[in-house]
Amino acid sequence: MAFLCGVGFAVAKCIEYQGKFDAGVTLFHNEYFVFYYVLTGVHLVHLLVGVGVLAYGYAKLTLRGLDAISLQEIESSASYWHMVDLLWIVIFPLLYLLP
Amino acid sequence: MLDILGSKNLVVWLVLMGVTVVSWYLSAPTLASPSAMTGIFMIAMAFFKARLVMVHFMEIGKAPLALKLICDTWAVVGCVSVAGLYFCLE
Repeated sequence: MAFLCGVGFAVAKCIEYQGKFDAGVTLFHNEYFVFYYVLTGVHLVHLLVGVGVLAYGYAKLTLRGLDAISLQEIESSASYWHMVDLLWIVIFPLLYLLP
Repeated sequence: MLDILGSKNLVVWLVLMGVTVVSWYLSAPTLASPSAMTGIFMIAMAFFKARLVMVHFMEIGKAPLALKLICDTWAVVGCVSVAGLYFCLE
């Protein structure tokens, strides 16, 4: 479920970037957009890593079942994924909502 | 019957969604001219949500005191510095 949400978010972000590029809003368009692209871009990279980690955890769980090390890996992956989400919880209002 | 852990996660998730909706509503361009206080409130809400995620989903609530203090300090310092910068720039 988290994997699907992550992939959906990445697709939405690519569509959003494409729309902005088509409108001529690139990295150095103005100061705000430097921050916008750097913050969302770095977040996206972390998200893609997280999606990979989730996929690895799911594949390992499905193929080999659960053991002590797998549980530790899954807990760590879940914590990493929550961290990525936590960052977005702060970044989203900062870039999209603040007046 | 919902097990206790499942229902607590659901309650926390609903609170997160509710606060997000409030922030979203406050950002609507149709609202009367927003003040700097609206922005500061939204920043505070963002860090409130971040702390909620840390305590409940990242299990900092069950962590040793030192880690709890580090995470709470991050939330407070982050909130105050972002809100402060926002207020100065407005």
